[in-house]
Amino acid sequence: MVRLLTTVWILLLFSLFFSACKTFSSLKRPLHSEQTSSADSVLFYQQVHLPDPFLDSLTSDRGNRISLSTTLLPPPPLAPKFKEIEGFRVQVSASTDSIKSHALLSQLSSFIEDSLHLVKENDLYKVQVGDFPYRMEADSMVQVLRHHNIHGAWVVQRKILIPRSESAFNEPQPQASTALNFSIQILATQDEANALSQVAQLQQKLVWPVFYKQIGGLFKVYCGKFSSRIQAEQALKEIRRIGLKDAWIVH
Amino acid sequence: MKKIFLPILIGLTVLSCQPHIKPVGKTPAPTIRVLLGIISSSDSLQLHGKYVLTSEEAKYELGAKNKELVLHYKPAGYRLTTVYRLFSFTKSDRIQLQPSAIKKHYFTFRNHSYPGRLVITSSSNGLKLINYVDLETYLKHVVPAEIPSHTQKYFEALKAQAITARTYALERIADRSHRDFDVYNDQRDQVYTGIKSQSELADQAVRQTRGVVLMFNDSLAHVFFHSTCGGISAAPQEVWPGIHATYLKSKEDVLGKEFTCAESPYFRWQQWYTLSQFDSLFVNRFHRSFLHRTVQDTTRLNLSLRIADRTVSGRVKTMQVTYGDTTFTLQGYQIRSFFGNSRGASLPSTLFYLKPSFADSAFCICGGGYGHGVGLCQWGALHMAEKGFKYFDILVNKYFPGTYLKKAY
Repeated sequence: MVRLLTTVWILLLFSLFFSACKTFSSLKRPLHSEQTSSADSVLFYQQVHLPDPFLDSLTSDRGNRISLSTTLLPPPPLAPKFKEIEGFRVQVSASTDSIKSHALLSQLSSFIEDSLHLVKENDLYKVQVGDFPYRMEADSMVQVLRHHNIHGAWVVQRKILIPRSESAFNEPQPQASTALNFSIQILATQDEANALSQVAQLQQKLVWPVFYKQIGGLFKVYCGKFSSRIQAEQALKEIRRIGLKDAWIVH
Repeated sequence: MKKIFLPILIGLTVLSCQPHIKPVGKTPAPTIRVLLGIISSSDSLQLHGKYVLTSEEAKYELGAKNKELVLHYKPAGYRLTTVYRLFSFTKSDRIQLQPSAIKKHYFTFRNHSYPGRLVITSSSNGLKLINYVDLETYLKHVVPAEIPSHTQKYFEALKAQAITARTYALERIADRSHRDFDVYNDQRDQVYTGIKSQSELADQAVRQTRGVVLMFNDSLAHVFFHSTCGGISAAPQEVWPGIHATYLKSKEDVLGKEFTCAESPYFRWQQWYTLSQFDSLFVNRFHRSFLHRTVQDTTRLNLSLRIADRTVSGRVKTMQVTYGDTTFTLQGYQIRSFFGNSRGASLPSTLFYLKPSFADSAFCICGGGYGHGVGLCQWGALHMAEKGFKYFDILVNKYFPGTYLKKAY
């Protein structure tokens, strides 16, 4: 009986110890543990260096600096409102008397609203009217002046300013309209033989075709046929370079 | 008789040594004061259920008919209007809205619903709306807002987050007792979005760890948490000079042969910036542009970024920037906010290096991690929970070694 009791107590003792150990193992760490736990004592916590390209690159100096640069350009200059072309004006007078020239200018302003010029060139005060891209317009102005009893006005060729918005003088003509409307008049004569002779001579000097037409009682010698005024102006420069200073563009 | 008493005595001794969590505390949880927002002109809130408006002079019942409350702030005082009533208060008045049934009633402010009591006070910059709520209830809304709580496999991480959040909150309650609120409801402290974010698993995690906090020596441990450490954690003094904790050190966050938070979408990231984008960032800070100015002559514009100093963990401490004729230095969080995007999101972290593009037309910030990197790495905790580790492994044995758990109430 005593032996049986002793065996029972021993078994009870073992079971109590076993249950206590089980609780410990399931918790791993006591919740109320007042003692501090050491990280190194925990098996799963592995304080080892894990190679990693990203973390390793932080220690190198290569990724610590970058520089970028760009070039700032000044804005392009504003497009001028006017364009300078070869054109015509009607010169009314050229004198050394500035007061007289001013008086004439005010007289002209009574029937001409704009494009009246008083320019001083070579010590002469020149009163000029209009900025005409084409000679026939200038010729019309001569008639108008005569109508107002101002005689002796004549057409002069010079650089004139025209508004840039007038597209006809700005950009090359579109490809679709290939009409050859521009030509360069070199001279006009009443003698057809003279015109023929000029044509023959000029054909030797110029790359563009040279021809003449009889208009009214005059034989007019022309050079080239151009689709745009810009092309005609370029040709005019070449023609003037060989000494034909009075040539002009006709339309 | 002796033969009976001896084993009983031994058995009782062994049982008394066995660790156990005390039954759910009967001590009530403390109340935490959460700043929900500041109304600088006017705003509204909706009551769901009956509330009692208590001012210094009288009590009024609201919520039955007067569900919508509109608050108007002026420096001299403020007004509270409902469809049927108008209340005027001076700037020194402090009012509170007490729900008549705590568990069922809630109020909605700026599309978030909150339980508990609402206290309204006036300050120089507006009306402060402060939610007085039981700490355990507060945690039930904080935990799911801070960490994914949709799956059982993260349950232990939720418990770890609950303990961390509780410890953090209790620390703030003690530190800010002289102020009129304890915590902000956003990332400045802990994200508290109210009832909307509540989940059953998070509730369970908070219930099972009721009152449990992390301790170091005889006081609450300094606990911090962040989304992703990027493979290496930071010491608190790297981020907040003056805060030291021996249990928070910079170390590689490794579990076995992998980084603990490697599954995070922010474990590694890249953000590219062109010179034009950098110029926009510069304009945000200095209100002038070098790139879009008019120059008289052809001018060379240079940008140079130099990481001048790194912390122990490799995070960028100081960055020197030279742009045009301006040189300035960014430090710590300034770096993250400077390189933030237009939507207000800052750079994920300061753990990064710089890389130029092929044609030097842009540069890349190649980074790792999300957040300051101090303390608990939430993605690391999720991974550990997934691997079968318990909350005390995550906290005591991994992220806050040297601390211990204790029931505060």
